Amino acid sequence: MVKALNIKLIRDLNQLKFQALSIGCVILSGIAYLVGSWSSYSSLLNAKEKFYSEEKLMTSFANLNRAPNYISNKIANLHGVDIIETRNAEEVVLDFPNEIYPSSAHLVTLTEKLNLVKLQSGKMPEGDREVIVNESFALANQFVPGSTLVAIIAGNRTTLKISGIGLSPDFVYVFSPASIFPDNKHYGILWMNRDAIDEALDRKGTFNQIILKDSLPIEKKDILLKSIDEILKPYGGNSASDINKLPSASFLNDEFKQLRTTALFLPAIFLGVAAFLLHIVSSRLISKEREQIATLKALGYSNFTISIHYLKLISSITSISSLLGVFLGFYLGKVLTKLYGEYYRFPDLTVVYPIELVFIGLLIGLAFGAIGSFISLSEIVKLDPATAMKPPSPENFRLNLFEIYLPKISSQGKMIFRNLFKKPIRTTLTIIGLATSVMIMIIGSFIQDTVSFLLEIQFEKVQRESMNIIFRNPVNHNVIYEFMKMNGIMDIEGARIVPVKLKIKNKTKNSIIFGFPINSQLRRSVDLNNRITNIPFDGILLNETVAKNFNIKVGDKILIQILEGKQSEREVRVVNLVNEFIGQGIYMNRRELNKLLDEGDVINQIFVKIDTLSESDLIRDIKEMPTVASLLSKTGTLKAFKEILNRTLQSTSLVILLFTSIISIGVVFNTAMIVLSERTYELGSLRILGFSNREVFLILISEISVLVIISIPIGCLMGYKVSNYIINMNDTEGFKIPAIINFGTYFYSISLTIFTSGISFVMLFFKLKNLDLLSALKVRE
Amino acid sequence: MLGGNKNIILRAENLKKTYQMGEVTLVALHSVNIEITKGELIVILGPSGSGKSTLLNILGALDTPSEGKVYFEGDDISKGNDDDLTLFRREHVGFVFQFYNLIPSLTAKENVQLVTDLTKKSMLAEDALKLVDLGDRVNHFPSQMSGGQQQRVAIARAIAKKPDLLLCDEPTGALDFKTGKIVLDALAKVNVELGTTTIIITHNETIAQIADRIILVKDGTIVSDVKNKKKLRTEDISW
Repeated sequence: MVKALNIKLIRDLNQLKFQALSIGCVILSGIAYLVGSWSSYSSLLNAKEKFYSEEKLMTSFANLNRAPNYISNKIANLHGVDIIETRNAEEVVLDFPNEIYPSSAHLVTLTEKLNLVKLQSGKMPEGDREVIVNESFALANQFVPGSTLVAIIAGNRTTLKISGIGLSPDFVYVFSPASIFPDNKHYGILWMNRDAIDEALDRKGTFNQIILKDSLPIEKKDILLKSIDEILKPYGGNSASDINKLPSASFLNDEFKQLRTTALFLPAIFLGVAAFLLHIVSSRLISKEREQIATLKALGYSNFTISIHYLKLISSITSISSLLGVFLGFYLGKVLTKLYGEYYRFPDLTVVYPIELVFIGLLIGLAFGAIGSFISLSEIVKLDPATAMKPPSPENFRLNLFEIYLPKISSQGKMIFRNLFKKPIRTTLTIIGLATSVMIMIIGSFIQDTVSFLLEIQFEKVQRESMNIIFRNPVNHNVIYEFMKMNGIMDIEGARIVPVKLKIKNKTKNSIIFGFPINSQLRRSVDLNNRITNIPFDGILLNETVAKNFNIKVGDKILIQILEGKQSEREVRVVNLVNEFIGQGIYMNRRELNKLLDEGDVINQIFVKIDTLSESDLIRDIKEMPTVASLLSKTGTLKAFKEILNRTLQSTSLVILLFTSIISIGVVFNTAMIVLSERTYELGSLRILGFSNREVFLILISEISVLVIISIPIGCLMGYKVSNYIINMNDTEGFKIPAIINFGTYFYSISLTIFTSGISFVMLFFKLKNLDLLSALKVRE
Repeated sequence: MLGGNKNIILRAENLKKTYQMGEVTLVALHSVNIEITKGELIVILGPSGSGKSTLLNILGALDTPSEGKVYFEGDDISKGNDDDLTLFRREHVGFVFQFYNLIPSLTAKENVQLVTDLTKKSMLAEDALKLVDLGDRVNHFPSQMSGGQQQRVAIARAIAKKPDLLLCDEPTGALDFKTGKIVLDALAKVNVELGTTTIIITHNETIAQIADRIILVKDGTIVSDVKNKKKLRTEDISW
């Protein structure tokens, strides 16, 4: 037979059903997000680890100009080196007849011991005109095994047949070296057999990349890398690096860190809000039932039994919603894994459902429920049956200090004001709860605003060219005049761009010197406040954060090593600092840089502004030029990037919208219900005094509206702060990107909170309409 | 039933009130006829469950009868909707309850102002409080006052809008003898000084001695309705 107390439990739950439902939804969202993101994180991590280990990802690598193959033996003999392999790699321009925007690829040797290519379809290349292409590039361009493409390899138009489509652990995420954004449509990886690539690039018997697997702990690795640099120095090598410096690996590391943090961060907010809601509901329930609790105590029920009774009530809300949350989370995990899988190509990306998450989810849900109701339960213990049986005396109110400074307000206004100050902790928590919903909406949208802002700065203020042409080797500056003759070129500037290593005391940092003409118009250095900093006539313009990290001041002379040619070291003077937030480059007058490099008037990149009508003709002609290694069109890059961005944002914004609404409705509706329940008697009195239902409703919502209004600026501030925290969460060597939040985003977030509060108010209105406040008083009689 | 009189402020005809309690129909009032003259102080007596509170609720437009009619100065108020009843209470009726029904977040003066803000013909909140001898307590919150003081604030709040009818449901029910008498004193004073028609319901027969008229309710009907020929002053009664 069901115990009487349990029957009470079921009936109490039925009474609280709407509040239980709204709180349950908050818990469900938190647990579902936790389980979903943790499941997709685990799935991706598993797939990554498996891929890295099965396809034998290298642990270190070095790039160089060109070295004879036997040199690799010297490195193989170094302490700690287990496996070593050499390869040749080169950026090549691709010629797609139907594609206006220029495409290029990283042509690289198909290695056999490390960085193995896992075939997804087709077969390994045979002969010297076959390649494997990376999967995302193939998908974006609808390539299948058997398709062909034309590449300009060492100045020769070469038709290549795609024998297979594959994935390799060193190119999980593919970036073009000249672009900060991924663009699978216009940039890919081509793997070619060793003999074929050596032949095509005219590099027989030599290599320009070395990849190796070592078994050294991280602290001893530096010695190995230095030794490799020593060996490769005569061949233009000086940048032996750990795998973490590989763009794909480093990007993935950052992404995984971010995934893990958001997997914990958002659920923590949800569960915190849920704990608060459970707290106000349980404490209200207990104060409402104080007479019943006193009766139960008088009848001989122990504090423990009564506490368990209420704990059961809370736990039934938390356990059901947590369990549903776990299952919804597994589904969400599947969807998220599939979504992420489009960006990170792993061969064996199978969704992992860690079974322990069922228990963890349930336990976390129950724990937050218990935390939420703990204070209320302690009230049961304190309740003295004799006093509890008597009707409560009027609540204590005092004139508030703030009131002295308030203008004369109506009695209703005073009621609202004093009630808010009556329970400051609850008022504060309610405000924080509401502010949280505003915050979530902002942090769900700020990425889009920030990216748009960065794109504007980068592509409107900094990179003002329409196209960027990269030469295979430095060419004489006069090449500019040849380009100027081409139809459609409106403006042109040549640049000398060279990789360098900053050497300050015992610290080093790889960087790039951008040699631009004085008064360069197509490339400029723009700081955070949109100010243009001119290229100095002599000396260098250095990034402020780099300067700070290395303790460099204007006027200091610093040592740089040129990572090209003879790898010579030079001293340069810092003449100015610039506070940029994309790029950490060093800027110089091109002629001064040419002098520094002991070379003539040469350039290796040109920036052109063109007449868009001639774009396709120009691209076609430039792609044919043997000296050109690659060609980037701003429009093409932007288009591809925006496509990716929009797809990701569309799928996440709906989820964020849903989450925000759940929290906002949960907080407003529950607060309203509590206020209504606590003050039924008072509101009934107002009705008797002649206040209409509408007037009573207005008093109620005014009080909650005050909370909503206060929460809005706090939520905006929290959104701003957290967005800044999120954007700089990964280690960026002290670089701070400001989170940009547009007015529209604030407006949207605020409107949503007001709208969802409005929904709660409508629910409250109907509840109030159906509640006979007068009968509440009659019962009391 | 008393005969026709131009001074009749409230008239109830054949009032019946039933409540549906699950499958049981509970008759709270049946065949109640009553006429109330302006300025009268009436005490309605009856044991618990006799229907006196139901009658008071219907007369004060807190509730509507299941059958029968209530006329206020000749207008039928028994068929009004919620808004009509609210307006009627706002303009014509003051209530005093056993548990005072003060708003805890408002001071005595502000509790009274809550009502004076609603109506035009009202007196000053301070004056209403002075009338119940609480001139020195205007800025106290309910929690800072005794039960008797709280009840007097409730009376001040009820009379501040100069209602035509003052309805009191067990106004001394929660008070001890001494404070109960102070409250009755205040009610009698209001009745005399303002001429407010006052109905007090109680199960305390002693209180009936201060009334002009005593009505006895039992099992949902009026069993006796008599003029009190030996009306006493509050200081002369005790219980």
